[in-house]
Formats: sequence, C-alpha cells, structure tokens
Amino acid sequence: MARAVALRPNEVAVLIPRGAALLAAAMQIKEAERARPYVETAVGDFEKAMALQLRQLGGMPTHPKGELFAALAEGWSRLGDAQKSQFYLTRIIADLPDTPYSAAAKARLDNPSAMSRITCLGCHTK
Amino acid sequence: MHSMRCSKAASGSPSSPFLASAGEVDFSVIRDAIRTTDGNASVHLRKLEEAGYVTVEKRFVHRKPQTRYALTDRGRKACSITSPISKRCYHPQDHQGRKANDQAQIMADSRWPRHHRRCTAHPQPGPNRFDYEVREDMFRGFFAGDKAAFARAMALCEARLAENPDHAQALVWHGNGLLFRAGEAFAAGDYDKGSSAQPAGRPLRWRGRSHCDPTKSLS
Repeated sequence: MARAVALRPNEVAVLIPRGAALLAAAMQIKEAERARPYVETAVGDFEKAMALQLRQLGGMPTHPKGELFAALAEGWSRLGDAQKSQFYLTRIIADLPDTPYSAAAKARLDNPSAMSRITCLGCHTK
Repeated sequence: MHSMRCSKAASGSPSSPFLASAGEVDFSVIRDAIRTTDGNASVHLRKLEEAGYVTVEKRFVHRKPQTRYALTDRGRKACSITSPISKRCYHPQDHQGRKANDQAQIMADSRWPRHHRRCTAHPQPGPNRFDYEVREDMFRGFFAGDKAAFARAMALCEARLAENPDHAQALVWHGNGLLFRAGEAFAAGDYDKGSSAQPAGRPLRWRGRSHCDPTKSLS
C-alpha cells in the first residue's frame, strides 16, 4: 500500500483506501503506542484527501463526506488531539444534520471516553 | 453515416453522460439519476446497447435479479461529443433524497468527465476508477463474509497487477485484501498465517498478539 501511495501520492482513490485500511487495522490493536504509526499514516492520508477535495466539499454527498470527517475525528482522537477531533465532529453536526453521522458525532462529543462508533455508518454490504 | 447515428444516440441519451461519470452501475441507479421511468430508461439503454456503447451484465445478487451497465470505449468516445444534453450537470445533490443506496452515493462521488469540470460543485475528474470495479465485491467480502465475492475482488486486483505492476489503485486494494486476510487469520488464532498474509509479510500485533514493528509493515 505504501508503494501505491508512492506511485500516486495525490490520488484520492489511493489515499482513502489506504487510510481506511490502516485506521481499521489500528483500531484492532490494543496498545495505543503500537497503533500510533498506523493512525498517523491514516490521518495523513485523510488530511491530504481532504485538501485535494476542498473545493468539492460543498457538493460532496453525505456518505463520503461523513466518512471522511468521521475518520479524521477518529484518527485525531486516537492521536490525542481532542481539539482537532472536536473540530471535525462539530463540522459533521453542522454540515450533515439529520444523518447518522451527526447523531454519532453528538454521541461522541457528549461522551468522548466511550469511544462510540462514528465511522463506517450505514455503508456497504451488511 | 452509421457511426454518426451512433454518436448522436450516445451523446443524445441522458444516460450516457451519467454512465461516463459513473463506471459500472445498476439499472435503478441510472433510472433515478436521469429521473425517468423504468420504460424510458430501458429504451435509452437498449439503444445504447444496440449501438455498442454500453455493455450489459445480468446477474442475481441475494436471489434478486440485477442488471448492470457500463460504457464501452466506443461509448465513452461518443459520449465526449458535445451536445446540449451531454453538457448537462448531474450534481451529487441529485442523488440525495432519492433511492438512498450506497451505489448511488458511489456514483455521486464519481470522477466527472471533462465537460463537467467547469462546474465547481463537482468533484474533480480523475483517471479511471478501479475502485468501482472492485469495491462492491471487496466490501461484500469484508462486511457480509462473502468469500466468493472477496476471491473475485482479489483475483481482479491480481489480474490488473499482472498487466501493470504499478497500478496504484489495484495495489492499494490488494493490500486492503491482504490485510483483511491477515486479520481473519489472527482472529482464528492462526498467527503464522496471519503474519504471512500481511501486505509486507511482517506480522502486525493484531488484537494484542504476535510481534511486530508496525512502522515498517503494511507496505
């Protein structure tokens, strides 16, 4: 996956799958310090994907936007940056009202330590 | 003369620009996107099929029939011919509030063709999206435990990589699949298999087991 990103460092369709895979993998690792490198890479991928799509964010549909913001909120939270995590959670609530993403973001903001699920909501084949 | 008629058919059909931006899509998604009835959508799509501009695949998914369409190279070329209809913008918002399936959202998030670039509301167009070919089967494997679908997705990645070892999207999706396999093996207690299944062949400390250097694995 690192080679894929090295080959196409500015391709959202490469950054997002790697970020999602690494974040999901990191969430399976018990020890926070061992998970940290994966989360750092994932957050870097998502931040870059966000920067590349900044102009399109206004027209982005609920699912990709919600997943992108939620992944960033989750990632920054796991990296210990509560402020950045809250920023993305607040954006979810503001930009995606009345969606499962805003409900999950509110729940996380109300009780951050519970680490309630905010990503992979209502997506893909169940 | 024939090709002129065909070009007109492709560029004049409201379904063709949508298909150009969407990759392979289900009939219902096209019908909803062009806001028409089943009958009208069928007529449009049949004409495109007869002209060789789309391919049709019929299959059963969870015992329900599914008809999927994709533009051929010929159709893609014809679709690029300027016409008032082909210039029509399909905003992502068109899909919201409609049949809210994941596919529609994938379509809305698609890379848009050249003639849509002037519209700042659209995502920037990009190269061919391999994820449209692979993600449905991959996710079915991840989330629904469909081993056959997962095997198809991995085989597709491997075939694409055999053609082009530097296919970045195939590389990253294949890595995703390897990571999933590793996770399954670890979850089943097979740590050797889990370790060897990982993208870099380096063991990841999955669910607190095994031993690894996370900073160097997962390439």
